Amino acid sequence: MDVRLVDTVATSGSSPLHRASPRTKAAAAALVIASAAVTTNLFVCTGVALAVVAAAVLSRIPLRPYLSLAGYPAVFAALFAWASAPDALSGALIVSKAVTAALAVVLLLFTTPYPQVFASLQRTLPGLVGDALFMTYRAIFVLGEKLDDLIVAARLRSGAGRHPIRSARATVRALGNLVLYAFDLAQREYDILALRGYSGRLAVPVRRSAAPAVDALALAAGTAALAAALAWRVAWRDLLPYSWMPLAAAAALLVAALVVRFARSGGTRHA
Amino acid sequence: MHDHRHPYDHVHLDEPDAEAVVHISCARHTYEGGASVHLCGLDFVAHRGRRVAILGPNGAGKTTMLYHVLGLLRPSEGIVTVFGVPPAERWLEIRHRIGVVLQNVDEQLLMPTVFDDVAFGPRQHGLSESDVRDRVSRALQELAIEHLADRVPHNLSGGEKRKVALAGALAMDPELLVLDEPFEGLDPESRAHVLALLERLSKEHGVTIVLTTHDIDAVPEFADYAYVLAPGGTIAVRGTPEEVFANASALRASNIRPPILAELFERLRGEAPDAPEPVLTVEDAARALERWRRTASRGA
Repeated sequence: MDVRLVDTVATSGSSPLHRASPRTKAAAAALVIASAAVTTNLFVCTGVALAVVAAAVLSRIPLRPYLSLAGYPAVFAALFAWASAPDALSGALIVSKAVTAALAVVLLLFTTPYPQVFASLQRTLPGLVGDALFMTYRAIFVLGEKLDDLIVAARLRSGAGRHPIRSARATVRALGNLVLYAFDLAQREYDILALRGYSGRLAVPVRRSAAPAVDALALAAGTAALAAALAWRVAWRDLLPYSWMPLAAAAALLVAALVVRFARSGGTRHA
Repeated sequence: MHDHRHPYDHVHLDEPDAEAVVHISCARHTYEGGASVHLCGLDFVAHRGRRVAILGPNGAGKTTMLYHVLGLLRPSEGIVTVFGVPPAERWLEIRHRIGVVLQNVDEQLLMPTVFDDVAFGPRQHGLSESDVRDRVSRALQELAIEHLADRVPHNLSGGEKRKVALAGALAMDPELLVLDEPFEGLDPESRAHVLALLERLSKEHGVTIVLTTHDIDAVPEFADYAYVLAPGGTIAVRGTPEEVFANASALRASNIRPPILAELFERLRGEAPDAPEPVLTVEDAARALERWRRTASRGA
């Protein structure tokens, strides 16, 4: 997890999605999350996920960190599915839902500077909750970097090297230190906010859209995803034979996006 | 209202009417672990428009003192006032008059671009967007970092981050600047630039500056007054840099090595009794040595 990479890509990116309105992107992400929550069809859910990845490809964000960040929830969803899903298909659906939602949120974070994300959320959430989310987001990345440092330090000092048990002990010790550090960090971050003028509500100016057409497209795509999820849930008996269609359409979109991206990057290299 | 003025030691040595912007008298803070810092001995006073340096060994209580000034700590005994009010109780009234740069600037930079980070304070205080833009441009210009405006703060060097944090403090047009180790990580050119900026702020705009530093050689260039803390927080020495660095025994007690020029002149006087009195700036040293050379050549 590298906050610098997310910040850099979100701030310096110039793709149409980067220039779209933060509120519209947040709304589109919410629609995708809603579709993942509503759907009971694995193909539809995977199709929505592929469409989101296609949008990420077209936004020229670095795919490896994007996919690895969005993949974190898959681990926890898989554990949950293993413990509770009645069959493999249900388990796959649980994992797919988690990954689809994560892909949408991480795409939002990679294409929108985070104060803009939380400025959009502030409209619908109580001030304290919006501000807490803002600081939690920052803290997760700060703590991620700190944990990396602590694990390295604990392994070096304990001489754990690649020894699995010693290494696990060192990691647990590092986690313990991290909890203490987190308490300390929370206090310091609050102090800094207070010193810099925070008094109960972060003031962040909302950026206007520089790509209204992309706003409309993002909302339409999100709405389509939710409509498809609802349709296959409500009329699943009739639509079940056609479940492959959204998946195939999303896969075709992804292939087209990859071709466009690599054609552009190849063109840039040759130029 | 309770009068926080101390009966003595709060009068400016040269200007008896000068306003005491910061005043600390025998303030004590006890940390959870039981360690106690008692900022006692002499009173600490920073008058309007003056640059005051706080020196002391690690753990003496320099940062604790700054945290008291910033209202982050409440003294369990003694007096701390900033602009005449106790900051821990009435911080909201005075915070728009104070700019701060803490030691760990990484934690102080909150926003994804330098521009937004410098604009953070003015925006929180509800200024209009055009006013915010003016202030940010001015602050970036003052520190010669306009070219960093669109950069991500976390990708900058340590010195650049410190300048961004300082720009964030300047964007508030503060009357009091509180700086914890502001020269750390700055290259010599940036350090000279920041020193000149601080001097301009204090002389032209009447900004009071309180800073802690381990950069002893910067103190004669920077400070009008210096305070030396001994271990435990005792405020052991106060005066102009010349007065403070002439007090060798107190400096030794606080584990502070005098500036390199002061040491050089002490050494010279040890070997040649007619050597010049210690001076603390390069210009003064050059003049003193030139005079000494001429006197010596006339004698020969």
